[in-house]
Amino acid sequence: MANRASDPSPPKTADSDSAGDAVTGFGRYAGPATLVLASLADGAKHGYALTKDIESFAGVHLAPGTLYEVLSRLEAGGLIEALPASDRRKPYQLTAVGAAALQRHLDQQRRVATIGLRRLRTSWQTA
Amino acid sequence: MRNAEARARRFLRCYPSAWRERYGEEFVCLLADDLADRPHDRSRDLDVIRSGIRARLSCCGIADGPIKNSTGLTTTILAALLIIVLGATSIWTQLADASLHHTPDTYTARLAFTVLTATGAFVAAAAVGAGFVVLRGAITAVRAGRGRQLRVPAGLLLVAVGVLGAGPIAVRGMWPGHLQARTGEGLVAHIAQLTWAWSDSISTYWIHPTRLLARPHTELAWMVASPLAFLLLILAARRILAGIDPAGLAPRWARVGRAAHTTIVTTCLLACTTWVLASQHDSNITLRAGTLDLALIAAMTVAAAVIRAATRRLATPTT
Repeated sequence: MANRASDPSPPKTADSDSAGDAVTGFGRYAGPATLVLASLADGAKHGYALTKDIESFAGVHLAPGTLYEVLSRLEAGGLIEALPASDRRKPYQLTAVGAAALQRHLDQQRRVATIGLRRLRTSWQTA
Repeated sequence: MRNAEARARRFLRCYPSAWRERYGEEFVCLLADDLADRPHDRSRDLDVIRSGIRARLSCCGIADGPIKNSTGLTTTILAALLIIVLGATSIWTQLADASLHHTPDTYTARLAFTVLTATGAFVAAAAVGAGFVVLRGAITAVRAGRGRQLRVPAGLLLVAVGVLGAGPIAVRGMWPGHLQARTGEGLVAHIAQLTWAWSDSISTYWIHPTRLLARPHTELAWMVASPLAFLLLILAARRILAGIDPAGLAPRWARVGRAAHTTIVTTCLLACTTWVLASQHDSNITLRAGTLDLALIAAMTVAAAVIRAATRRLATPTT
């Protein structure tokens, strides 16, 4: 039985109200969009490098169709921008708006993860 | 690797040209690498096909997405308009045929007939007005030296109009109203004959091949030719509209046109739906709507929603 009284949710702030809006606004693409933004957080990458990086840190293979749907939406939303192509591959980099959106979204996800893990520990005695 | 590149280029054809222009080369690179890594990944193939279809629907304004294609949106709007006009025409023709035989004895049938006749007359007048705006735009384009790009679509438009004008004359003897008309060759009879011919291909005969093949050969040929002529009309109109800017020529009328379209389509749909639903219990078989009419109402409603989405999309800035 969960002890809800002993586990109050953190108070909402003005920042958390708008938290992750830019990313969660992508609807069903919010998950892949987070992975792409997180991958670009350490520098510009082209499509193939993005899929390999996401595969290494998240264990998810983003299919090319989905990846480019996400890239085009992120680019249209101003969260990422294309750099001049080196050969035929065009690298993408995070914009300042994208970095701020990713920060807010991950903060929100962390809050959810923290609360979920705490409740699991309380109710289910997990490690 | 060359084989993977060729396969990737074949997959690229799933996407619309506006998308290919922006992302084509880099996408082919990624896809070729992925195909080399996983040559037999069916889920990847399906993902690319699904994504390409979605990009095409997005370019036509049917699905959301960042890439906009004005020509695709114009085609979608014209095709959806044609569905609404032909659907309303088909329903009006049934009501007109029945009214030529005897006065519709139900309130909903009289209401639907009156509303569709009034809106039809208004749409015909508006179409003539829009034709003048387009003609003015075409003359301006010719004067500006862009006449050559209008030559082919203008020719196609004339062919389509010619077929749609001559066809009803060829099949006039098959008009079922001849059997029913009590008012002889009045204006309604003439118009009903024309609208019957234009909407003759909207028929349940298509799912009853025996009954379809029992029709006269001239009518069968017309049932195939008329949809093709309408298709040609849309393609020609699309290319002409791409060559000129009718909305730019008359921005105020474009706004009025959008408002009038919403009012007319809503009124028509309400009148048709009321009649179709009420007539299910009508004792007069000639005025009883069938499954085809319900399907027409559904198609017209979807077409109206598509026009609304596409016109909104057309008004947003290009990304």
